[in-house]
Amino acid sequence: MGETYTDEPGGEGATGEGWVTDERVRWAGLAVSLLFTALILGFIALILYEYVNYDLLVSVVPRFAVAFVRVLAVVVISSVLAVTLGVFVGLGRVSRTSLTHSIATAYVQFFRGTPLLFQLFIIYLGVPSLWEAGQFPINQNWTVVQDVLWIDWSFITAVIALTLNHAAYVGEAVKGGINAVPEGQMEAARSLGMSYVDSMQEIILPQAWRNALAAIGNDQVILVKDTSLLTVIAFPEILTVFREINSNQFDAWTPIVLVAVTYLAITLPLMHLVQYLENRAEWGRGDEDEEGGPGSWLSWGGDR
Amino acid sequence: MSDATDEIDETGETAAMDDPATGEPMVEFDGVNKYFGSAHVLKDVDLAVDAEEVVVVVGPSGSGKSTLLRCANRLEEIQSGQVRIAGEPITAPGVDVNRLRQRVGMVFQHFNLFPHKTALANVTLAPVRVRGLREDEARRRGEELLTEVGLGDQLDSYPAELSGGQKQRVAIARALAMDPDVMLFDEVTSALDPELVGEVLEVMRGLAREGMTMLVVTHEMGFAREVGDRVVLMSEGRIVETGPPREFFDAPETERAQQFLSRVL
Ligand SMILES: Nc1ncnc2c1ncn2[C@@H]1O[C@H](COP(=O)(O)OP(=O)(O)OP(=O)(O)O)[C@@H](O)[C@H]1O
Ligand SMILES: [Mg+2]
Repeated sequence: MGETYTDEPGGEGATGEGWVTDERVRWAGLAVSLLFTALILGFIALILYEYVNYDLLVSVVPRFAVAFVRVLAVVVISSVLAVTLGVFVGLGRVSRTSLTHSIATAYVQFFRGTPLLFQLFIIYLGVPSLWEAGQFPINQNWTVVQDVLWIDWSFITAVIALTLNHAAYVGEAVKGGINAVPEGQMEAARSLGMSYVDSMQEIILPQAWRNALAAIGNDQVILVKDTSLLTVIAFPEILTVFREINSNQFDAWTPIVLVAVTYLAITLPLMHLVQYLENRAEWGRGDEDEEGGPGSWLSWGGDR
Repeated sequence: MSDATDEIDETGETAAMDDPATGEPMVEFDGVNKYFGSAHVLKDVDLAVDAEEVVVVVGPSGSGKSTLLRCANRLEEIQSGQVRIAGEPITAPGVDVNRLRQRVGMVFQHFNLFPHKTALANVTLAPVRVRGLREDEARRRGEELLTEVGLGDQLDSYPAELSGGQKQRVAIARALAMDPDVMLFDEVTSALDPELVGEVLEVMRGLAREGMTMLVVTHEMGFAREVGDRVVLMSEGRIVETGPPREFFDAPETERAQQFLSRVL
């Protein structure tokens, strides 16, 4: 290679398309992203100065706070249950016992193959109709925090449906994570006399967990956003509050700002938690495949 | 090869002691046949490794050396014949394979260290989980073993922080921590940079000197000659020649052995 090496296929022979250099691509990328940032910031400034009614905004904050608490409660419970159940679904998916494997596969196929909205209806409407009219036992609300958090059939439905649905996705992530652990790990563990269960627990799952973390985290962010569907089962979630305010006050941008803030108040800390867990599982490889510098969560997304 | 032959005299007294307490060979293959699907990979293999004996298995790629070793701790199932560890058949119905494997240590070509555990934790895990050793006992024994293999200063390093030679020495210490009766080594230096091979062979040489029973698959002919009590040549799933290293290397009987040696020496 000559001194004017430019990373192109063809190397020194390729003189015709020489103007696409690494340097120029870098500058073009920077220019585009700065332009994009300027446009977005300008637009946000315009909205905040011209279209947001601050008196209304302050007065509806409590309603969003209530929705935030209720959604957060559903998310935390469903997410913990979905990840726990998902680990077992993943274990079922890699099981060599064919019945176990078939059941886990059918489970994943059903919950990934039908809409979450439909699954919500099955539980919210289908389950109570198994009882004689008016006999369904879960008909009162259990108040946890007065006027903020109460548990009724829509809350229970939300937790069950989100758990079952996302356990299927977590299960697939866990399965992929297990399959990515080299075969030799299980052989080494078994050759030391460890049982299959001990080997899974001590050797395979911790590594599978690390492999699957990004995908599992991604799915939990989707779980947060899936709570917007709960409006159809009369669960007062974040977009329900938006629609009430929008139709009563004829104001779109004031509640839009609050909706964005409320969702991000859940999803951003969640993304940071996942990043923290990923960093913690480096096991002496801290310098390799490290996530980029400050503000790395900006690059966090479904593409990984 | 020539420096290895020079060393024979220093360690040449590593003689086999054919006198285990049970009077049985430590490892015994008796008419073993192994198939992968329709591929017949081990054909009527008979081999006995006595207590404190070092048997080195050599042979071309694909001849079944790894498979033979993996049958000795039931990482592979055999289709006919019998494998016995200290007289106890390991494929008999009702055999507790986890208990059996505690007596057979295995070291792999690619180390297979547990990447999420430190060197010391790699070594102490099985003694605690399987043998029920107390944490502090396991820790003391682990430190002792890692010091013995020259890694007393790397107890808290993760595998990713160790060189290949260091990893393989941790793997040996990990297998030794179960106090096995026999150690299986499957081309444990093949994945190492040439300058790191010596440190691993040195540890194995020390083990042989201390009287460990060893079944070793290797391409290191110098090591086979120097440390082996017996050399076994495999070809196409059969044992085609077996004998003391001097005879095997200097006066091979079969044509197959002569061919093999002319290629590797
Ligand atoms: N899991 C497996 N499934 C199918 N065939 C296998 C499997 N493992 C090994 N074999 C075949 O069995 C034969 C013996 O393999 P083995 O690994 O024991 O050879 P080897 O002597 O150790 O070779 P090498 O020196 O390359 O390690 C080969 O033909 C190989 O392709
Ligand atoms: Mg092999």
